[in-house]
Amino acid sequence: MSSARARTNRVLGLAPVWLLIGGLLLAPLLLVVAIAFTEQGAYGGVDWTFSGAAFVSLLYNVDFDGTASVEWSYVQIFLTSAALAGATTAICLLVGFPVAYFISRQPPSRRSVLMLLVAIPFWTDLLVRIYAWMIILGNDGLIASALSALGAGWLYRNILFTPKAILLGMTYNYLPLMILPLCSSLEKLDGRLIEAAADLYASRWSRMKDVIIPLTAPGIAAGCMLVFIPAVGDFVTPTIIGGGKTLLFGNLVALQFGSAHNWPFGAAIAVVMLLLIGCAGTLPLLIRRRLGRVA
Amino acid sequence: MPARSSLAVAAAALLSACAAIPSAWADAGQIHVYTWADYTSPELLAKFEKETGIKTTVDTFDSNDTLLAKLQAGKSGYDIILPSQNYVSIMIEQGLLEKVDVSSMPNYKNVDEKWRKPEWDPSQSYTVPWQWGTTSIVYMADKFPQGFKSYKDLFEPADGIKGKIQLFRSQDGMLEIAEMYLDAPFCNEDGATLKKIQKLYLDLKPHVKIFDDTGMGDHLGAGETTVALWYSGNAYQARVSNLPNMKYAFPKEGVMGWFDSVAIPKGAPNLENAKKFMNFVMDPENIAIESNYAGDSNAYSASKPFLDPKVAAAEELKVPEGVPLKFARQCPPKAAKLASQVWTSVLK
Amino acid sequence: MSVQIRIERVGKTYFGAKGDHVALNAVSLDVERGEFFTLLGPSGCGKTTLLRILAGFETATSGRVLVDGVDVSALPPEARSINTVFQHYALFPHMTIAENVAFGLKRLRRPAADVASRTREMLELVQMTALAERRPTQLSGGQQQRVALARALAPRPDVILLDEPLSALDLKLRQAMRFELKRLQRETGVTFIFVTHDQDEALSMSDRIAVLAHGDVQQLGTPEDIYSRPANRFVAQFIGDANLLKGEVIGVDAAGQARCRINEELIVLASCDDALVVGQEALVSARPEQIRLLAPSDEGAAGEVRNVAFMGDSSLVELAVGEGVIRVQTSGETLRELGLAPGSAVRFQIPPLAARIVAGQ
Repeated sequence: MSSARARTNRVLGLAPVWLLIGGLLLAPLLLVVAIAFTEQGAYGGVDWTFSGAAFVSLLYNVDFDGTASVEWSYVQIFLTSAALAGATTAICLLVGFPVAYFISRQPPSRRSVLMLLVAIPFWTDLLVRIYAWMIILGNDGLIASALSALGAGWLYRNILFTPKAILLGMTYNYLPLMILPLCSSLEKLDGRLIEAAADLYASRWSRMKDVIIPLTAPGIAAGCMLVFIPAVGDFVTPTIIGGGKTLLFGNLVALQFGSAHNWPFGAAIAVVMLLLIGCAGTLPLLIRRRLGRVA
Repeated sequence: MPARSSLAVAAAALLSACAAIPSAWADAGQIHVYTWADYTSPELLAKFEKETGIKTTVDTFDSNDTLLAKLQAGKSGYDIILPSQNYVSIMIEQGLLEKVDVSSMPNYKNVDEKWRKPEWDPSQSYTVPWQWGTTSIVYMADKFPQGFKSYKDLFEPADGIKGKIQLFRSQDGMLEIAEMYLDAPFCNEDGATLKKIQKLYLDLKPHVKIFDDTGMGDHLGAGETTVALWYSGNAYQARVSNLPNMKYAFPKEGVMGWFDSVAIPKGAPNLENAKKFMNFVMDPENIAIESNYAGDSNAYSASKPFLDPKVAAAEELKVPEGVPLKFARQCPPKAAKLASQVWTSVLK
Repeated sequence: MSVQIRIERVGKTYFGAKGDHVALNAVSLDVERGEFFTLLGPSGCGKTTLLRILAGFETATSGRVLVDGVDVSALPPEARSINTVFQHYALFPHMTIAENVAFGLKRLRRPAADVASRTREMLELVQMTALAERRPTQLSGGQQQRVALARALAPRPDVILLDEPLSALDLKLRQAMRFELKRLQRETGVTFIFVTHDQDEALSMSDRIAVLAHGDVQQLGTPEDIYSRPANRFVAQFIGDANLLKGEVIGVDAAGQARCRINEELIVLASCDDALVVGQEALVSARPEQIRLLAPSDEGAAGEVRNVAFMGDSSLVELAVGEGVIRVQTSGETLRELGLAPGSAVRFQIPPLAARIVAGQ
């Protein structure tokens, strides 16, 4: 076979991959960016004329009486979203690490069963899982009934429809996304290195801090990204068990594409969010590159 | 019909994902119906099939916006759609509906006088009345015996209901309620009024427990809330099935109505069959089947003998004399934009 | 010299669903201070298990370990003044060479100045100063080996455990490292407990060797003892090469020497420890290099050359003797003088006391 033909075959053979990346990943993204730079359509949709108005309204607010002022509320919404997502990520890491460590130290057969168990909640729909928490947390929910059955009803505090409930729901939803990459990272961790550290007088804490955490940093970074990104954009959990009182980034976007009929603004928020997350996302990459010299 | 429970929405999404896009070719004996989930009586469709031999296929949408977008995208392949009043006017304006001259159909005589030639279809050339209802406040009478007489009871909540209120998260109806309370017209563009509306909701927000378009019945039943906004039909069904203490309020300032119609999208593949369906719907016996199924009101007094006695007696479906019934319009772009600005600022 | 480590009836059984596995069977050993002590045995003999029990990575099911008279059995690894050189070094890949060497010192909270000077000293000792800032993956196997040693030596432990440290190196480097290890042990005076399956390593470096098999100590002694006076059939075969010849004891004298008749022509004078009785059967071990080949005209037992394998500095000759086969290692010179080739007749002798009667039939 001639090399030219081999090259043609190679290009053609990869066509489905490029089609997938281009058509399914890149094209929708470009469409969102394009929509962000259009005029708001009359009844939803967009008017295809170039405009930067959507981005301007992120920063400046023209009030109903015509006064213009700098708009801080979107910055505040972003900070709230980032804080909630950050807290979710931190809790997932604290809870998920010991679990992942335990799983990774099991014999392979048991390990795969445990990983399957971790992934099982994903078999059901997100909505169902969140509604389940409502049944657990509510006034006549499982916790309340159990406590009152024990005569300790006064101990019950209803956290449903508060930010605490959002935190709980998101932690529960995204925990597997933390555990699974941590597992695969911890699995590759050479147990002899931990033994070596213990042999060289490292306490439990030192073994964790000086050996296990640095060596599983890529897995930790991946887990944190996988939790933080969907958490910062989650709009279902805050709406359902958060009572919809805390407006997060995802809700803001959903609102614009929904009943607010302002697609360009929704797209503009999404683009800014994408850029901010992109910046945050490169941090772990940098960490990994630094560690990359090691491995 | 403003919205359905989100589980139904999820189910609808699943269904529409599974159901293939209806085929564009016209089979001799069939119609494709595009409707809300859990809304169109299967019994009604079966009766239609039996009487005419025309097969029906049903797809569902989750909002008028979805329906509108589908029609705007061009050839949808549907023969029958069920849009709400404010969207009917947009569809007529944008030339998305087939002109079928409803008033000359044999069964048109059954439509009540007061519902003929409505403001959204003044010549009655496009739509056939389907079902209508209202959106208002529901409350648990055992926990809030004084009840709701005015929207003042909502905007200046008594201590007993503070922190026990559920409002919609989408802006549909929210501005209209405040506008009725302030005795201002719908689709307001006046800055001062909008500012007042914004303040009303910002002051109310600390006492609101949930902003969500779904789950009203669950939350009321679980005691999480005492007061909520809901639709008359849902409220009736919930009271009958599991919330006997729930009451539906008709505040003196007025109550918001919604009105769904049967229409035929432009270029429907089975136009003649679709017209047969329209005429079929206007038969009192037939429309009663739908009212019994959905628990909503209809525009055909002659259907009364065929109604389920419970539906016929339902307080939720009877707007009292003296309470204005106001149907929301699709606001012009400027007003719509201001409305979304108000509502976003309330939620954030 | 004094006993530093006392291993008292240490046993280890792994309990499993598919049955229990006894890895160690009540082993008792004393290791003296400053000694280069080797645990030698084939894989699965229990030597690595014993090492891991000494390090604290595993707990013995029975018995105890004393260091300087103190029972350390219950102490975790980090509380034992014992450091390990791992088979694949287990250097920390995210740290520089210097950080690796300093690791133990830092965990012991030594002052920063001491850590720095001791690290420098250790790097000099293993001649790795120039590469102090490199990462382990940038080093060759031999270099990693030195770093692992420096890391283990740096905290001045009482004992260093070495788990087959040379097995990952190529032949040349392995031989060079033997001298290096011996030098380091001599210079530092630290007790080394060395685990290997390679008898050459064991014989060339150790002060004393414990031969392990099937979870038991087969023989404990100096390399000389182990080689020349194997206690049993297993040791005789595992250490070096041995011809094991079945014979009958025909005479015993007071000095612990026995005459054994292997066949009509071959009578061997062998050393022995056990009290033997005339007429009993015995197993005689004779090393190939100890057997002398003679011309067919000389006096000795007769054999026929079956095979000659050239091995560079010597050749291995296989002789058919009666029913059995005897291997003889001989110089090229002898080979040429006798003109040996497959099929040629030859005579041979086992010199008095070169052979030994070993236990076990």
